[in-house]
Amino acid sequence: MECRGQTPRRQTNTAISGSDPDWRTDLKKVAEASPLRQAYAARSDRDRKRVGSSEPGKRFPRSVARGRLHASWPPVAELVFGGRPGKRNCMRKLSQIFTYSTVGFLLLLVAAAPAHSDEKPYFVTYDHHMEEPRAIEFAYSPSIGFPKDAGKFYSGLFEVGYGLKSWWTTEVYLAHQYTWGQGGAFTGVRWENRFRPLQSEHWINPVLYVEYAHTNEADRSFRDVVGHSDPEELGEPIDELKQEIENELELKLIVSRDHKGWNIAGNFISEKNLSNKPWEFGYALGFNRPLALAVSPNACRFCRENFRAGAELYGGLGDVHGFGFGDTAQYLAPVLLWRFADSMSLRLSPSFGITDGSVPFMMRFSILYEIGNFGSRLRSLGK
Amino acid sequence: MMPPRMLGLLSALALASLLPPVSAQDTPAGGSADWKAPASAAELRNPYAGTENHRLAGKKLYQRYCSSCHGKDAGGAARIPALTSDKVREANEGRLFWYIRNGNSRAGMPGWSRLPDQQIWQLVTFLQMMREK
Repeated sequence: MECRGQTPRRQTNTAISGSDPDWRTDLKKVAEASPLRQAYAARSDRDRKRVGSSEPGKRFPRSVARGRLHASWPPVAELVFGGRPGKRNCMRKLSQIFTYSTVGFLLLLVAAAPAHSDEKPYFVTYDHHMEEPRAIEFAYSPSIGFPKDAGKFYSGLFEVGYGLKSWWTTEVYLAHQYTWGQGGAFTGVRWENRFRPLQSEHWINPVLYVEYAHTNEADRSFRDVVGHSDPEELGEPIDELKQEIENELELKLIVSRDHKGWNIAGNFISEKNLSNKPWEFGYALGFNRPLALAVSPNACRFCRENFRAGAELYGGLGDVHGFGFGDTAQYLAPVLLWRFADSMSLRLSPSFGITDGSVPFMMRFSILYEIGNFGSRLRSLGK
Repeated sequence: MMPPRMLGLLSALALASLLPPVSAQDTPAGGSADWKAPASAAELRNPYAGTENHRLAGKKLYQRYCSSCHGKDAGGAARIPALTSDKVREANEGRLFWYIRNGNSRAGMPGWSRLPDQQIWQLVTFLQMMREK
């Protein structure tokens, strides 16, 4: 990982103690000692030039020299942002923190607004239900995977969805992952759009899905599974995988139907890496039902009406050169959604890989928060 | 490379959220929504009509799903129709059920087919008994 492998503390202390005379006069050498020092030395050098001083670099502040900033970078932040601040990616981390904070602020801004959470228990399968117009949804979906011949990983997906129209929903995803023993990485961004051409309910309801994804090979979000599986890829070093950038276009045909409380949905997925790779295919099938069809008049948190249960089956279908189930990853996953407040839902899904090319077990969670009529509320703030 | 793109996408989303809700603005205040329910919808009967328990359940559903647009007291907003009108109260229950289930995209009303029929009937019960309470 970029930010790891810093100069050992013993060496650092020697450097700041002044016992190494070259250290004070050779900024270049010092800069090589630590990424954080490198940044500090560069800034210090710029400051000196600005004030016209010819004095060589002064001592580093103790916190910089001892890497205290690194030490104070909390493990949770490392898990979320995929590394400790340092060489090259400090500004990136700060930008990410800023982005997350902005989204968090907007969330807090409207926290008091009437809200209800989404009721789709699926993690991979899409049904025909769109976001309500002007409603915004936030979700964070962590997963823990246990591959057969590789280190277990933690993957997180942050999602913001918005109902632009009753027939058009747009969503943005930010993904990161952390692999035990290797470190973490930001793994990409996705922008999806769903269009529902037929508005009222029909016997079967189609939705068209278009997604652009800018991700790297370290992505473990498993939002869908396409093509042939490559189990060895899970064992490759994350530092190498994250250098392999992918720009992909993904199209889905979603068909779905509600009948007597049940939802039944099927997706056909086709994905094209915008480089010279072939089209890859996949599918997802799902069904679910609320545990009670009518609601009780009293407020309750654990009553059956607040739960939806079902299952989904998803996997790859090969590519244009070899369509079918051969050498693909396939998963079977029970799903459960619990609406524990009007505004929030929790989803969970133990996912079982049922072919050799699959991750044998993944535990997936998701917490969702939706704010109805968000667009109008935001506009009214400006009045 | 990533943060500017990421910020760009989020900014685009934020801007999109500021777009005027055209579909809602097309609906005149007071709500002359398109009620073109099929004739068969009028034949549907509310199994919960007049029952207090289901009215209360419908009220709970209303607060959860409808109040963010139509208001906590169902009084509507600038261009979102009030649901306390005689039109709603006296509407055929089957057509009201159909309308909630299918929505009207041109008027900015989403369909609520994700709710089981029983819950939509509870909503109908609440809406039609609202002014009696």
